[in-house]
Parts: sequence; structure tokens; C-alpha cells
Amino acid sequence: MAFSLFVSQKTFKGQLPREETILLIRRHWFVLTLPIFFIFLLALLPFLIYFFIKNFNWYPLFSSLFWFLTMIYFLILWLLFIYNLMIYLLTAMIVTNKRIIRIEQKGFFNYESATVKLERIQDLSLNIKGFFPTFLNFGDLEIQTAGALVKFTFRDLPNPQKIKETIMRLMEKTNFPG
Amino acid sequence: MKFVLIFLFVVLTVYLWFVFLTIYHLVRFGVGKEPKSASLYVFLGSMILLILTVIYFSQVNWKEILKFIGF
Repeated sequence: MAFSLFVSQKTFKGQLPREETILLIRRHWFVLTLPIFFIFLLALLPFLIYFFIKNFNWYPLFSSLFWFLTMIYFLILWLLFIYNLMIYLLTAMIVTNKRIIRIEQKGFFNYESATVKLERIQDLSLNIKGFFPTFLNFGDLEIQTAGALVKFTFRDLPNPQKIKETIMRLMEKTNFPG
Repeated sequence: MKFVLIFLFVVLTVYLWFVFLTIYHLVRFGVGKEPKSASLYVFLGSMILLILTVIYFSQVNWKEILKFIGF
């Protein structure tokens, strides 16, 4: 659809006839915390500088300039934040009744999409490694297809065990219909 | 003063272009309702920051500052 604001949340560009979206999954929210934390720390920097310069003689004359330059600095931090948010929101895994699609936005003009048909899937494996992934229950899902040397890997998926079970149920329906 | 205005114009143009690209990508390529909602928040947040920047710019006493540094 040309104007995708009004379409159902379960449809996507390139959807096939009679193809239903079963799952739309983005990476776990934890992947955003590190960039946001650094941006937050950087946002505190002007206030730290203000703490040091407020008692200088020249500060009253330059205070408005200081806060104006701080706003320019915040504009840059805002751009960093929305860029990271955009990358997070545009990177997703779509599981339909026919295939699995990996959409990866790597930059403004850098986009990758990979598709694997359900009937081509040979093996599904989970990989949860580390303190935070274990406690927050997110990890990688690897899909091995028939005849392919390369595995499809979906990184940092929330609740990957449930996603694996859903895909296996869909595979059973595809390979053994009725 | 002219250079200051040119500086502000360039900064805001680059900023608005970046914001436009972000919102365009979210609306055009986003799947599901979250990217669309996020694009609204990005737009509102960007406009608020833009207005605040212009307000702070208008409060700067450029004549006094330029006189102090010798221009």
C-alpha cells in the first residue's frame, strides 16, 4: 500500500496473497538501553560545565550564549537518540503462515531483508548467553535451511523459546497439512 | 551577526533534514503500529527542541558578546 499509516498493524509490504502474519517481533528492549544510557550521560555534561563556570566574572554576559549552545548540543543528542530508535523499530522478524522474514535496517540507506520458507527449515537452535540475556530472557535464534551452508540468525529476540515453538508448530502444519 | 544567523540556518536545516529522514523511514518502512506512533513522538519532540533553540537564540545579546570579544 502506498500510504501505510492506515493499514492494519499485521500487514507489511510484499505480503503474499493469503499470507497471514503470525508474529511480528523486534529485538528485546535491552538492546536500546546502552545507547540511551550513553546519550543520557552526555546530556548531563552541560550541567556539569555550568557547575564549574557559574561563578566566573564573565558568566553573566555569556550565560545566554552558553544555554543556546547547550540547546544545539541537545539537538545533536536528540538526533542520536531518534536514529537509534529508528534502527531498533525498523529491525524486525516477521513470522507468517508461509515464511519467516528478517528485516534489518543498518542505516538510513542501508537495508537488508532475508526470507526463508517454512518448508525449507531443517533445524532451529536457540542461543542465550550472558547475565542479562538469561535474566531478561532474550537470545539468538538460528535457522538452518535445507541445502544451505549459511544459517539465518535472528539476534536478541525476546522469549526465543516461545518463538521457536511457534515456528515448529507452523512447520508441522506446513509439512503435514490436515 | 550575519554569520551567526547563517550558522543557525545551517544547523537547523541539517537538523530538520535528519528529522525528516527519520520520520520518513519510520512511516514508510515501519511494520506494525509502534513505528508510526514513534514517528509522532519524534515529530513532537523535534518541534519542541527546535522552538526552544530559537527562543534561546533570541535571548542571546549578540552585540555585547561581539563587542566583548572585539568584533
